[in-house]
Amino acid sequence: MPTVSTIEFDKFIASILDSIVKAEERLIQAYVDGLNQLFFEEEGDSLKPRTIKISYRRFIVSEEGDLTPIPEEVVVPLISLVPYRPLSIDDVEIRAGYNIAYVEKGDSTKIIGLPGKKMRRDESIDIDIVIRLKRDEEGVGYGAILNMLSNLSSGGGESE
Amino acid sequence: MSYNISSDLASLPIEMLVAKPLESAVKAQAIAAYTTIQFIQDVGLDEEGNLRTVEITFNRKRVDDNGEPRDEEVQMKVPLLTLVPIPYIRINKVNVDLSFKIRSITVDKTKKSLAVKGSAEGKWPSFSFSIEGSFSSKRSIKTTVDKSAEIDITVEALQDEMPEGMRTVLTMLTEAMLPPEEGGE
Repeated sequence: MPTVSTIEFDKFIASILDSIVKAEERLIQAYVDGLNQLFFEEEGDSLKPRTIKISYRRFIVSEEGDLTPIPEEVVVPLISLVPYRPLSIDDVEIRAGYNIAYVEKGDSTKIIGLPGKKMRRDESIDIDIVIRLKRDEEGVGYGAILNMLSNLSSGGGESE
Repeated sequence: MSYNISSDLASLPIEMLVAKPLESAVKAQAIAAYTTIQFIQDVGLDEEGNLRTVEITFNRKRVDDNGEPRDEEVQMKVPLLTLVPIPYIRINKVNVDLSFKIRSITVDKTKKSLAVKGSAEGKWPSFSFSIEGSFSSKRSIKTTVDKSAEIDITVEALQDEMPEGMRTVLTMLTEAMLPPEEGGE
């Protein structure tokens, strides 16, 4: 029965950090998956932006001075209507508390006169991992796509 | 073989326990964005994509060509989207607190017993004796292990700003909200 710690703390902490790095990869992947599912749809080998079409009537004043309704239609990319912010790991805190207590009673070296020995070992480890996520800025590419798609929004409609 | 806490520690599924709550936060964000899209489509538009409007009729005073004041009925079709706040809930902060506790108690008991029985008899010059002895050793090792894991997740969400695209659409719709000619469209 070992009376000292057998825990390899360096390896253990490294494994936690490794898990966090992998978790961050999954975090990014989940964000990209969400982005694709929410705002794009597959069209052949490429992705086409999802849009909503809004039909409404605009009123113009005719030459006779009357208000004339003109049907209008605007196709708006969803990405420009709904915010979808990325989250990233802000900081990580790892706390580990380790305790070991070893008590031995009796003596095993003598045979006569002593009934034997009793050893008790209490070992405990408490690990606390705190991960804080914060809202991050969208990537530069996101802004570029957003601007490009916003410019593509088609307005205007047929006049009656 | 005695219990070794490090093997339990190594077997903790830390990777899964760390990744899952983080992944869930991002997915929750996507669900919130999807809910907003649904809201815009369901509340703002009908099945054909036509703008849902609320018709408001009211009278206003106007001065006619003769300079006389008269009541004029005005009808306005106000897009519903311009009347209601659009939910833009987004996650601002997430705290994930993972706690693991492993506690082991090992008791190793060794009990030894020795019994000796002897007898001797004789008369000079013959003499005999006998000794019987027994020795036993019992060892028992008992290990109790308590393991517990706790996950505490705190999510702080807030109302996000309206994106520029939506602001443009609403401005456009508001400008199109001019009152139609008297008596209808």
